[in-house]
Amino acid sequence: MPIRKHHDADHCPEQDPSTASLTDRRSLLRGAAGLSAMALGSGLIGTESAQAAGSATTSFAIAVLPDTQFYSRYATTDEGQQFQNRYGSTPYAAQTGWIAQKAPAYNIPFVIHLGDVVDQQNKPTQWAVADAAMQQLENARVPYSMLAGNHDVINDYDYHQPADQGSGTDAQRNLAAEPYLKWFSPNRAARQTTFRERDSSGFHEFHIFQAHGVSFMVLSLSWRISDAGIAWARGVIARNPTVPVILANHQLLNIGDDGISARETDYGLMLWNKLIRDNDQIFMTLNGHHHGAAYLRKYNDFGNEVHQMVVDYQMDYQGGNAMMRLYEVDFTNNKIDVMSFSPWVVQKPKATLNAFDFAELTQPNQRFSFPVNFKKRFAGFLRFKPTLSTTGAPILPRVRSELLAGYTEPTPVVAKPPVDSNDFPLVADTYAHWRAPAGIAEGQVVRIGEALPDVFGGNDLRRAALVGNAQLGDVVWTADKHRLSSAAGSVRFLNTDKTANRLNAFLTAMGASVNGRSFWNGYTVEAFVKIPADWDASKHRWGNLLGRQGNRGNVPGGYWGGDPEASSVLFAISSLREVQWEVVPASNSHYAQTNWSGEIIRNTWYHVAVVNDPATATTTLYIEGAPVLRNVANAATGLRAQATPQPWILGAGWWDGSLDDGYYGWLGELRLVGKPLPASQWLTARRR
Amino acid sequence: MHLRFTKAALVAAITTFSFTLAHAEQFQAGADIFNGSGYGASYVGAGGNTPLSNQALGQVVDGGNNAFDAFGFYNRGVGSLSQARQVELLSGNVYRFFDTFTNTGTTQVTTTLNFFGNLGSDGDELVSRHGGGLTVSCTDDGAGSCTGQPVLALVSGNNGLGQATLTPDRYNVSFSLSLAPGQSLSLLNFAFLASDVDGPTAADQLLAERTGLALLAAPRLEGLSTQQVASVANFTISPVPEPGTWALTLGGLLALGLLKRREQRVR
Repeated sequence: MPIRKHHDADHCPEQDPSTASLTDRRSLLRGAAGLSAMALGSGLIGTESAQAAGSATTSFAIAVLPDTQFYSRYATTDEGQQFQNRYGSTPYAAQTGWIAQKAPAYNIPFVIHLGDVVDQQNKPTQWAVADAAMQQLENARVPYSMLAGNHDVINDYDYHQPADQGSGTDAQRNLAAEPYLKWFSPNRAARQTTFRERDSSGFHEFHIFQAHGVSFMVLSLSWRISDAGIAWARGVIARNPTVPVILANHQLLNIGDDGISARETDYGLMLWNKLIRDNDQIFMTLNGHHHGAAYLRKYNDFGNEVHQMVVDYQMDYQGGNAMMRLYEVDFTNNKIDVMSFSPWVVQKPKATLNAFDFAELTQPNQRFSFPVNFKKRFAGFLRFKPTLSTTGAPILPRVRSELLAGYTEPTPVVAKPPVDSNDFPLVADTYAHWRAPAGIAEGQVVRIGEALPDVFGGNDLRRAALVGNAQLGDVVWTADKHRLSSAAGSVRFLNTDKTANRLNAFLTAMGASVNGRSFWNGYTVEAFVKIPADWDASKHRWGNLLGRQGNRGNVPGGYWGGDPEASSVLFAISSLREVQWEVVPASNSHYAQTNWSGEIIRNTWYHVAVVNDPATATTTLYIEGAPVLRNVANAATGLRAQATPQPWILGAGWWDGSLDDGYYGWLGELRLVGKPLPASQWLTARRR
Repeated sequence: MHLRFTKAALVAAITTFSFTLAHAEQFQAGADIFNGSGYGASYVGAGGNTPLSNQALGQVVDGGNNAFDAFGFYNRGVGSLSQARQVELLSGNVYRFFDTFTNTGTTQVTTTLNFFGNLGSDGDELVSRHGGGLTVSCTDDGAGSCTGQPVLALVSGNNGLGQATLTPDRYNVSFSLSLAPGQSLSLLNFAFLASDVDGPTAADQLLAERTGLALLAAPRLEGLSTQQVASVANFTISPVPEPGTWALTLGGLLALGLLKRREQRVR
């Protein structure tokens, strides 16, 4: 196991748990100022830690469930029970089932849910999935806390400024209508042995559990808490003045663009100022909501550390792939160790595993340790005297060992890179295959009217005339491409900025045969895409890779859905960096159907394939060959063209007669095939 | 929670003082004043906290032998006042906190500032003196003697403006003020650390008390301008002592120790 050192201690926790040496207060605080505790030669604090007899470890583990919303949603019949169909099991139940079974052996006295229990609060079937999952804990008598996230409440209004406390909080809700309070009612919460109280709104609760003779409070605050709720929380702490507090929220910390640095949110700062900073008992905070994982050591008004952590896996493979956390609170060694793992991955059928499946995440922001001198940290309100274990052993190494026993990481399928520009499968029913031509020069500007050739059917795309504030130099050829693309390179869209009315596009010619295609036999649409490191949602959200001219409200058959001004094909990168595939089907054009990927990473090439198969009534989105969650169940067939054929658009979308939502980044090959294709015939495969 | 106030400890200190003074070598307090990015023997700059991690500028972290966890910053009441800090480790293991607050607004500001210290004793305080602007405390070994961390003499002023309290692990001094627009005033706090190089002895308790009393009577002002001294609100300051005054004070302490020693022998 490698030793990791973190010099930016404000953001990064300490070294690997197995090698963590004990550090004194001076080292810790200095570390927080930007110096490595290790580099300073940290002193042992053995006399202040809870020394157990011999080598026994006095510790316990808290289980944490980040946002379960997609587990709840895509296990429903409404969404085609996508987990069950593919794996024969579901992630949420796998999480709580594992905890229920393992809690005694791993000394897990409490479980914390971080909210966004469901994705759509108005769908009882999603609540039923969550209900059943949490019942496993209840049946095993493992206590847990719940809180409502923004997806769990009827009105999802964000907080930005103090005046926002006047709207969207628990105080402004019609409590009788809130499904969270029905499914996870105060009465249900009260059945937990650790439960103490909910506030008058019913959204916020607190528990007290004991571990090794020390009481801990979990103060679990739903999104978004009112001033009255905060006053209740302060009162709860005041009424329990000697109890250390773990504060659970849905939103508090955010994560920077690098994916690991902690950032503060307006809502989190409000909570800091109104609740956390002057309540010394709060020594740790946990939240979800923001995708990724980060840690922040912050200091309260008493100069004491408050360890803040955000974690949310929902945008990862399979909506998080059942990733959860254990926090081992180690009194003997004065530290807290963190493990991020999936109890579901290890029980999936081996044939379903792929490169996106991980039993444990081992990156520094997922597997880490941070020192807490418990006696010192709690000295202002508690005389810390745990009951020492005489037989205890470190928990996380045991979890790791037993989790991975008999589990083999999937062997990555090594795809062969192309040997030349023709090294891809030619398939019948290809309607268009656009790719950068041979002979392009790096950075060469694409002239107005210059072709992005269709190498199959002659439906070339040509760069459209400049509109708005677009400049000629905004589109260039580049040799940069996905490693499995056999094309000469890609086309890059620079300087796109929706706040400055700046976008560029390619269009097929009026009269091109592909313009009238309706894909009645299903389809396979493939693209190679990469968004830049400086991709910014404020400028680049909803940028379209591909679209079709014409309002979807005008397609034959009668479109009844929302946004009739939009295109009948939306192949875009969302504000959350998801791939969006939203199309009006040919067989039923009344409503669009949408697939979503998880979050894609900046500065990384991806192969995207969307396969619509009439035989199975499915539309499946694949990212780098892996089927993602959030697919369409009971999919209609194909894509519906306008009655009067209209050009295809590459690099921008369409809104009510105009180009809109420009794409920012690289676009490699893009191929339209009028039937479903297996992976062996995709552009990532090789010709035979 | 252990917070013990005792006179017995001081008596013991006086008894032991004569036997230890001759060979006691005082430890050196650390250059542990936080400046926003590192630590040094002084901090001159604005008050407040660092971005994101929220660490107080000018606080003393450790101070040597884990005397403090985080000592010497204002954690309440500053509000709209601007704050300038001059925090220094003076000779003789004395930390001086000189803070100037200015009302830069257009209306009167009435507030109670709180000077705060998080002590290294972690709730095991043994207090031998508390009141009149001086608190002397150390870490209790459970039997009424000092152990581990240095003995602290914490000085908050001699005119009653500063109201010091000591609760487990925490030292607070409140200053109730009212500043007119444009008005400034300064607050002066001291922390003296006494410890033998091998750890605190009973004699160090006496040394801490005597040094604290000396700071109350004649706060150390070297390096401060006449204007700065004139702005101090929590001390009634006698004419500035000559440079040799402190040497005389220490000499007096030595003499006192010898006298005590003789008294013990006579008894």
